[in-house]
This record gives sequence, C-alpha cells and structure tokens, in this order.
Amino acid sequence: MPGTMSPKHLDDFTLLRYAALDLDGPQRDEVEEHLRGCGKCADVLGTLEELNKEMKEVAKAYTPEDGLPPGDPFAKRPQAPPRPRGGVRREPKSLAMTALEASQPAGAESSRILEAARRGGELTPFFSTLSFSDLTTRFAVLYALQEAAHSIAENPPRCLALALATLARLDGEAEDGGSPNGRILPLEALAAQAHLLAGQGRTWTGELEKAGEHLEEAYRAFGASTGDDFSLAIVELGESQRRAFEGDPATGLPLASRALATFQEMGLEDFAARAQVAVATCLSKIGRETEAIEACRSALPVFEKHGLWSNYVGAVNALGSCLSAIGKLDEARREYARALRVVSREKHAAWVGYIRNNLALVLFRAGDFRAAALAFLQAANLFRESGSLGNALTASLYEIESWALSGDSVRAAQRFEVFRAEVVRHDALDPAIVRQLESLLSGHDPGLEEVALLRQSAHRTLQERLEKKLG
Amino acid sequence: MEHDSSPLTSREIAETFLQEGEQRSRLFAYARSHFGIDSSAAEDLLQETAIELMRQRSLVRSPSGFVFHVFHTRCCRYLQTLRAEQRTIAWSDRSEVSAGEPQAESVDRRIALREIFETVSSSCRRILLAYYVEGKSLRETAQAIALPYSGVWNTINRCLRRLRSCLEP
Repeated sequence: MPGTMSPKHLDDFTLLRYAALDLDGPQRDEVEEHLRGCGKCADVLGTLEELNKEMKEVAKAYTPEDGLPPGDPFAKRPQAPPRPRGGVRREPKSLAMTALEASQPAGAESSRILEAARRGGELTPFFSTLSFSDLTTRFAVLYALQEAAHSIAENPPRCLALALATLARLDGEAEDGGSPNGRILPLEALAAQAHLLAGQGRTWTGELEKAGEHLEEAYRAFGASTGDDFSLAIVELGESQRRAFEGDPATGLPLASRALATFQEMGLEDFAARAQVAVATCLSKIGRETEAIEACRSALPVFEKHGLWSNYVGAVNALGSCLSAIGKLDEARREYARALRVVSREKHAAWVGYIRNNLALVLFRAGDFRAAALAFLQAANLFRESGSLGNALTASLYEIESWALSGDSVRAAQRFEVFRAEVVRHDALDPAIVRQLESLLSGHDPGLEEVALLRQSAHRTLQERLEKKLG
Repeated sequence: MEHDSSPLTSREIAETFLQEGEQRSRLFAYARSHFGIDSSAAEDLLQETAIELMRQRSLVRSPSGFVFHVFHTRCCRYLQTLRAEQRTIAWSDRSEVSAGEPQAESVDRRIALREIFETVSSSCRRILLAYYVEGKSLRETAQAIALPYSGVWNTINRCLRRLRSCLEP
C-alpha cells in the first residue's frame, strides 16, 4: 500500500479510507496511533469526513453526465447564454417592473387561451389574433402552456394541440434580441415551453419518437434563451420518463437523477418527489426493484402532505408494480389498500379507479380470481363515474376473465352480456372481437388463454376507438 | 417565508420579492460580501432574479430556498462571464455575511465542489464516481483504475487535495 504513511503525515487517501471504515485492523491501528499525536492530520481527517459526506450529494448530480454517451443530446445540461451587457436596472424603466406589470394581467389572458383550447376545434384562428410584440401576451401564452402541462393527465391530446398551435404561431416570428421584451421573455423561451408541452403530450399519447424530438428541442431552446435550471430539470424529467417508456431506462435514469439533484438544491420537495418516482420507474425497468421501492417510498409522504393526488397515485402504482415484480404480492396489496384509505373517492374517482384496478391486477396475478373480479368491477364503476370509458371497459373485460378463471362461468357470461351491451351502445369495439370473446367464453371449457390475448388486443382497440370518438 | 398551506406561484413570489426589501437586502449583501460583486451588478442580478421567477407559474412550496438558488446561480454566471472577460474580482470578507438562508452555506459549498469536480482529470473523476456512485470500496476503486499502482495513489491524493480546498475557509 504505497504512501499509506509518510514519516511526517498521513496522505489524504489513507485518511479518507480511515473515515470510510475501509482499512483493516493493523492499518487502522497504525492510523489511530498517528492521529493521537498529530493535530494536523486530525484536522485534515475532519475536512475529509465532511468532504466524504458532501461528495455523496455532489455525485448524485454527476451520475448523469458520466452515464450518458458523449453524442447524446442530453449528455450535458446546456450552459446559460452569456449575460447581455447593460444591466436590467439601467433601462429607462427597470425591466423587472416592466415584467411585473405585464405579467399581472397575463393570468386572466392565459385562462382565455386555455378556454379556447378546451373548446377544441381549430386553434389557429384564435392564435392569429395574438401579437407577440405585446409582453402580456407572451406571459399569457407561457403561463397557459405551463398550466396545461400541470393538468396534462386530464387530456393529453388537447395539450398537444395547444403546444402545436403555439409553435405554428411562433414560426416565422423574428425576435429583436436586444429589445426589452426579448430580454424579459424571449420568443425562444416560449418555443421551448411549447416544445416541452408537445414532448410531454406525445409521451402520453405514445408517440415516443416525436416526443423525443420535441424534448430535445426544448432542452436546446431553454439552454439558448433563459438557461434556467428549473426548466431544464423539468425537460430532463420528461425525457427520462420518455426513455423509460421507450425501453431505454438505463439512459433515462441519469437524467432523472440530474433533475432530482436540481430540485433538491432548490428546496422544491414536491418536484424532487416527482423526480424520485421517475428514478424509480427507470430503476424498476432495469431490474433494480429494491432501490425503486425505496425511491417510491420516499416520494409518497411528500405527495400526501401536499395533497398531490395524481402524483401520489402514480407513485403508489409504481411501488405496487415493483413489489409485484419481486413477488411481494401481499405487500403490494397492503400498499394499495392503504392508498385507498388515503385518497378521497368523492373527489378523485378516476385516481381511486386506477388504485383499485392495480389492486385487482395484484389479486389476479396472485391467483385470487374471485377477489380480483370484485375489485375489477369496482374499478370499472369508478372509471365510468369519472368518464373514463376505455379504462372502464378494459376493467370489465378483466372482471369477466377473472370470473371465468375462478370457475364461475355463469357469472362470467352474465357480465359479458352487460359488457356487450355497453360496447354496442358506444360502438367501442370491433364486432368481430366481441363475437370471438363470446365464443371463447361460452361452453364448459372456455379458452382462457385466448381470452387473455383477446383482452389485450381489445384494450388497444378500445382506447383507439374511444379516443377518436371522444377527442 | 414558507407557505406550505397555500403555496404561492413563482410569479407571486417575484411580486413579493420586488415589493419587500428584506430578502433583497440580504441577498444583496450576500452577493457583495461572498462574491465580491459590485453594488450596481448586485442590484441588476436581483432584478434578473425577479424576472426569472416571473417566467414560472408553478407553485413553489419552499420559496426562500428557491429564490436563493436562482439568485446564487445568477451570481455564479455573472462571475463566469467576468472571468471570461479576464476581469478580476476582489474576493474579500467572504465569510462575514451569509444570505440568511440556513442551507446557503451547504448549497454554496456543493456548487463549488461540483465546479471543481468538473475540472479534475477524467481518471480522478472516474475514481470518485466508482466510489461515490457505483458503491465500490475505496480499495476496489483504486484497483479498478487502469493506472500504475503508485500512480493511482498519487492521482487520488491530488484529486482529494483539490476537492478538500473547497471546504476550507
């Protein structure tokens, strides 16, 4: 062990190993003896112990940059653009006060934009009335895009339409880089926000490749305009989720960790908790379920404390999936049961539907088909209550399959009739699939494996047809 | 300034920040004493911070930490620009005034550490990542590096000395 001891002082690495309990007995004794008589080394040891602690935090933020290949557009967080010459205060009127005055009425204006998006139809005529030379309009569009992102789960296609309409409107707009408006809220930052929303929207709708293009552009444009860490971390979070869904969780993980480190540094515990769930999603997809479980468990109390129920349900579901994946079905069941006690059914029927549905899936996997059937029935009713017909019908299909698997073919047939009537009423499924299901479920020996395959294909068809119908 | 029961949006925090002088005064003093930034630039950085806060409508549940981070990052960028312009900054009385935030010193040190971490040699960074990220023991870490054995020791020591200097007053 070269350099362990110099005749005068201990080297840093030896002291660090001592602090990390990495030395064996005789080496440790030797170091302790030296430390007893050497105040300088004792001081250095104190600093190294502190360094050891700080480095563990710093390393979290560094994982990403070293974990991504150099050609990856997210390999390194973009550097902020050079600060323009001439202070904001030296303008005829302080830019901050100009920004404050312009952003004040922007809240109401952004509601008008969101209302136009909610009404559906063509957004282009509405956007053609907006003028980006007006700073309030810039803030209004920015806030509308941010607001839409917060509630994206409610209607991803609508958010995507808003983002694309904004990008179309911005196309061809030229910025006077040195103008006060350009310094307060550059058009490139608006484009970045629109690309971010488009990326999130397309991730929800499963258009992962296009989502990636938008998120990459958002990352570049935020870096080139405002360069603010918060926005860049939000993009990293979105990209990590997209990569996890795309089957590349290994490179999604460092991005989620990078975002997590930023939110922690900023003291934004709710955003940090969201990043923890993204970390957990990536970890679970690369087989590190135990660490994923820990990450989910650290996020849950934060969501509960702040009443962030959609995030809470996402974390519970991620936790339940991890527990199920490593065979801890009872524990998963307990987590879902606890969540059902915590989340209000009256206020959040759809979220409770997801929890109930996942609980039913755990029961299904555990082979408790009767209990699973009842849980799927409850989930389907909750989805119906919240207007989520596609999910309701999928849960009903699971319910029918569960009754059949439990041996109660009469009940399965009865529930199938109800299912068929609903499907016909909403024109939600190809009649050929319905006939195949009927044929498989009839008789004493239903073809259950084929029912499962049909259920999967029916789920996809249901979502597609209903999405088209309901927009 | 915590608003856990009814959190404010980042924009609302900016409004309060511009209207109330106390937090601005603290951050102003912090920029002057900690970074040696002149009064005029410090005032500009405060206003830029307010503008950055206005660009977000997200709810912020720990406003003081958030504002501090935004301001601190802006100060760091300002210094980077100055360094790029090869100007010198007087670093005096660094430790006398804090930003008044409990986590300020720790965040500050972490940012400084991270900056230095970025500039250490790649072999050094590899060693530290193996230890801190991959969870290897220090002995395994030393063995995993493809350098002559004595070279590993020297590299690690050099790197540690550099990082340690961050924590020393």
